[in-house]
Amino acid sequence: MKRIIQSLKERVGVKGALIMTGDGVVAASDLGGSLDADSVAALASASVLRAMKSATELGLGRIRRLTLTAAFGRFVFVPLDELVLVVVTEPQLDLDLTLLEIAGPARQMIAMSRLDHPM
Amino acid sequence: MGLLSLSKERFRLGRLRKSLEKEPLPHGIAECVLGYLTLGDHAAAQEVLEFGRSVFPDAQEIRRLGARMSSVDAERRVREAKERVRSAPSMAAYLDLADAFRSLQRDDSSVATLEESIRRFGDQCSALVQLGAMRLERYRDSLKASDALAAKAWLDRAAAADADAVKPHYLLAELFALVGARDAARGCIERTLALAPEHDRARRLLRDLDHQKVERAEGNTGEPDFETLASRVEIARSFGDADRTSRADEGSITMPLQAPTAEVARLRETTGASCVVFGAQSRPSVESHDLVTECEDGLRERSVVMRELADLCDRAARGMDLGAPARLVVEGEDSSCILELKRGAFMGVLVGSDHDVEGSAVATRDALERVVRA
Repeated sequence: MKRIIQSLKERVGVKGALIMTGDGVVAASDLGGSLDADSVAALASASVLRAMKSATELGLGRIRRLTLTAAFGRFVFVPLDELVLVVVTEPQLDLDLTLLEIAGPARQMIAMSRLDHPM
Repeated sequence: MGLLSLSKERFRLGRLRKSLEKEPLPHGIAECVLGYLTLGDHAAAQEVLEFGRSVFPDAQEIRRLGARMSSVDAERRVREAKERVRSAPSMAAYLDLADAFRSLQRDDSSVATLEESIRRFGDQCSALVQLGAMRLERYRDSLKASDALAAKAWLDRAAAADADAVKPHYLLAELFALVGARDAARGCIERTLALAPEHDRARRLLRDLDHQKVERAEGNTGEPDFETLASRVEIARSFGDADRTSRADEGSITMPLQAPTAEVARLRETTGASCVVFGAQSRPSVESHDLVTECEDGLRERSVVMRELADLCDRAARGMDLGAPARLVVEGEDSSCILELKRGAFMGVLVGSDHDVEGSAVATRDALERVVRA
C-alpha cells in the first residue's frame, strides 16, 4: 500500500494520498505536511458514508468514485471493497488525467485486497 | 530517460498498440496514448486516440484522453506563441501568447504577458480590455473591492485608448451594475448603444437596470461613489456567514435569486438528466426559497437528498480547510450525481452512467453561473 501511495504522490499535481478503512482508520498515508491524516480520514469517512447513503437514496448504484472540488484543493475518494483510497490534488489540475492516473493504482489495490481476502 | 529506456518504452508501446488492435480495451488505449505523449510522439498518440474513439465512442476514459490531447495542443500553442514573441515581438504576438495562456487557464501568465506588451508597445485597447475583463471575471468570484477598482482602471484606460471601442464601455457597465452603481452603469450602456445600437447584451442589462429602478424607487437617495459601493459589496461578500449582511440586504446586487425555472428545464434538456435541482443551501447566504426541480416522475423527492449532499459538501470542504466548495461528483454504477455550488446556491443533476459526466458538470456549472450572475 505504501508503494501505491508513493507512486500516486509522484504524479504531477497530486499533493498526497491515503488509504483508510470505511470507518476512518488510516491504513497508509502520505499527505505531505499540510494535512493531518487522522483528521482527514475522520472527516472523509463521515462524508463518504453519508454520500453512500445519499447515493442509495438517489438510486446511483454502487459508488465508483466521489470527487470534491473546492477553492484550495480537490479530494478524490475511490471506495475499494472495504477500503477507501483518498487522493488530494491541486484544484486546477486536469481532472481527466488525474482520474486516469488514479485508476491504475485503484485497480491494483482492489486486486491486492482480493488476494488478502480470497472468496 | 536514457536512449535505451526510450527505445524500450517505444517498443513496449508498439507491442501494446498491436495487441490493442486485436483486443481493444479503453484503459489499454489510455495507457498507450499517455505513453506516447510522455515520449513526445504527439502524432502516434493522436492515431491511437482516433482508434479508441472509433471503437469506444462513448467511453469516458477515451473522452478524458481527448480533453488531455486538447490541453497538450494548447501547451504546444503556448510554445509556438512564445517563440514568435521572442523572434518577432509585436502586439499581435503578445496577444496571441496571452490568449494561449488563457486557454490553459493560466490567467496569471496571461496577465503578465499583456502587461509586458503594454509596457513595450504602449496602451493598446485589446490588451487593456483583456486585462480589464480578466479582473472583472475575478471580481465576480471574489467580490473584493481591490479587484473592482483594478478592473475599472484597466477598462477606463481601454476606453481612453480607443474611444470607438464598444467592449470597454459595455464591460464598465457590467462592473458598475455589479457594484450597484446604476447611474454610472446606465451612462456606460448609453455609450455602448450609441456605438453599437444592435448590442443585445447592453439592451438586456439596461432592461434589468430599469426593472431594479422600479423595484427600488422608494427610499433611494442618491448613489455613493464607486469605491464606497465596491467596499460595501466586499464587506457583505461572505455569503456563507449568516451573521453578516447579505448582498440582498445591502441592496447593491440583485438578490435573492429569481427562481430559475426556465434555466433548470433547459439544463435538463441539454444534459438529458433525469433530475435537475436548483436551490439554496440549508445555511443560506442567498435568501432561501423552495427547491426548483425538473424531474422524471418519481424522482422529485430525491431533490431533497441533493440539498443534503450540497450541505455535506460544504461541511466537508470547510472542515478539511479546502475553502469554499465548488463541485461534488458522485459517480455510481447506475448513474451519477453532479452538484455545483456557488455563493450559497447549488445546482444538481442526475445523469445516467452512460452520460458524459464531465460535459454535464460543465453545463451545470455554466447554468448555475448564469443564474447566480443574472
